[in-house]
Amino acid sequence: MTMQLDSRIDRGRDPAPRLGLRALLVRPELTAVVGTIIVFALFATFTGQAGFLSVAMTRNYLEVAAEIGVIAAPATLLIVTGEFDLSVGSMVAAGETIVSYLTVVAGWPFAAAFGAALAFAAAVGALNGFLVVKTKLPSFIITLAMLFIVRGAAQGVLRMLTGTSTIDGVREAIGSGGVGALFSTSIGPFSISLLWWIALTLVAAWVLDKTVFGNWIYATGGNLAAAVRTGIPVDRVKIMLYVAVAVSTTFVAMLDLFAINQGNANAAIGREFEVVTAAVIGGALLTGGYGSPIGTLFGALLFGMVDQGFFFTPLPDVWFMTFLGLMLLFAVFVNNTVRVQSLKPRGRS
Amino acid sequence: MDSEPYLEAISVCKSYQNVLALQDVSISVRPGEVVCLLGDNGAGKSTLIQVLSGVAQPDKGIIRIAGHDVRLRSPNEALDRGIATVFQDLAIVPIMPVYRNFFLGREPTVGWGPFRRFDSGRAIRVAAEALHDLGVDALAVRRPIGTLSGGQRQSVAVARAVHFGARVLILDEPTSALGVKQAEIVLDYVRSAKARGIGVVLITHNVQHAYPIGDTFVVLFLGRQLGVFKKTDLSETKLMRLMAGKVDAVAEA
Repeated sequence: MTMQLDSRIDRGRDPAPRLGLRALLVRPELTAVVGTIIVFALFATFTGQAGFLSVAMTRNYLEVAAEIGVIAAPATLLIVTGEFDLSVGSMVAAGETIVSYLTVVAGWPFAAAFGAALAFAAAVGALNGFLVVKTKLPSFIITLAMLFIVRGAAQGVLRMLTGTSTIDGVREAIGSGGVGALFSTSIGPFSISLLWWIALTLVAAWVLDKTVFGNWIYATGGNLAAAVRTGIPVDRVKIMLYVAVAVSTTFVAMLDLFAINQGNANAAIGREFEVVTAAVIGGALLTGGYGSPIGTLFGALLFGMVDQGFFFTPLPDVWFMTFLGLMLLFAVFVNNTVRVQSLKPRGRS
Repeated sequence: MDSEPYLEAISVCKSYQNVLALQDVSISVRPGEVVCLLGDNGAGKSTLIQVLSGVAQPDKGIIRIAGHDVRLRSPNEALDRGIATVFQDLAIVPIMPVYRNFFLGREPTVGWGPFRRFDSGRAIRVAAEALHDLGVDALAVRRPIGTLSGGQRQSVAVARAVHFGARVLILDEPTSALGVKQAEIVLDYVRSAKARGIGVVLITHNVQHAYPIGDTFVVLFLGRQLGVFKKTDLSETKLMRLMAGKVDAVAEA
């Protein structure tokens, strides 16, 4: 038992009960927002003349960021529950493969092919979630296995059916109207992916911070035992989020399909790490319990800017990965320090 | 104090494998009564609270709540009948704000259909009101509960149980991990619960904490009950001796 020298019985009243600046500093998205501003300023200053500030360039990095961000929004919620999904890249490829084959080769209307891809994604997501909660094995391993299984199946099946690993001419087969317009139109100079990205981010942020389900997400990742004790259906929470992440990969597959006009079984290799990078730069804790879809949006934006802007720097673009790694390390360090700080007990009692 | 017991366990036996953890133990709690359950490690305290809180079922004996014989199959079932247990781990999420912890699993909502959402305004208000006596004010309830002191956290867990309608509170070693000042915060809170007519079962092995606050003392030793004592019949020194298993103290008492 610890004896305390202060003999006065303090009722635990905090000496300075203010949220103010401190609350702002511990916002999870702070690092990503500041990082985005710094990187944008750097690229604008040093490579603006070379074309970083052009509309075409802006469109490019927003497209890259959106294709990460659409998946990263629900993936952030999943990370807050303390789980990962490494199968997302291969799921994008599977979505592209399914829809391009069904529309171009089999002649299905887009809506039907899209529905089939969604059903497939939801099934794989549910399977991911089910395996994770039932086996209690690390989701890292379960979804890594799923990454290989789905990637291999996308390549294998497409090769079996068509002899290649890509299918061209998607736009011609689908046409421009109907459901496909959801993924193929432009908003001014920008791709509609921008809209998907922002909308899904807002939905994810709303769910996490404003709904009861969001409270359950935080609790599941923050203290699983306590969540179970208070009657929260933690398994259902996780499975639903695995399904949400899987479904988001189908949206990205469709956006990519129209942008490149090709279904590719090798698409989105490494996307899983880009998604995790965006979420972590955005303030999510990989151990669960904490994260912010808004922060993740900026994490993805930062990723997109560096990815595309690096080309304009005098550095050979092979150094991109190194730069990214350093940035990630720095962000994690800052976020972690802030988090530890925010959980320090305050007051004298 | 003369009212009928709200919670009673009568001649309860429980064994695990070959070990008889509880042998013919009886305990009763009236509204506004603080019953201290004392005993050294291995005396059977944990087993008894598991039986009372619905975590485990007795092999023999009766559990009676508000005059009715019941069989408690889960802690939630016990909670529905007004028996709330605050276990040592408190069931809180350190990184979440106090008010979110307060309503964990029982969140108030506002709005309709797909727009139904967590009513955080109400949650903050109600939590701040319920915790006001603990010095957790309206701003503090929005901070992570991990930033509160150990005593405050324990008290928040107790306040949560009280808020959700506990008639009897079972507190599992609430002061064991706390310093003197912190323990005092918790014991103060137990006093205020008692004043509101809530029965309390306080499990502890700390006589200094138990004696000032308890009305009745149940002492367990190696799974058996050494007796039920009113405070008037018992001095602190005798209570200490009883806990060490010195049965002759009973005769003296």
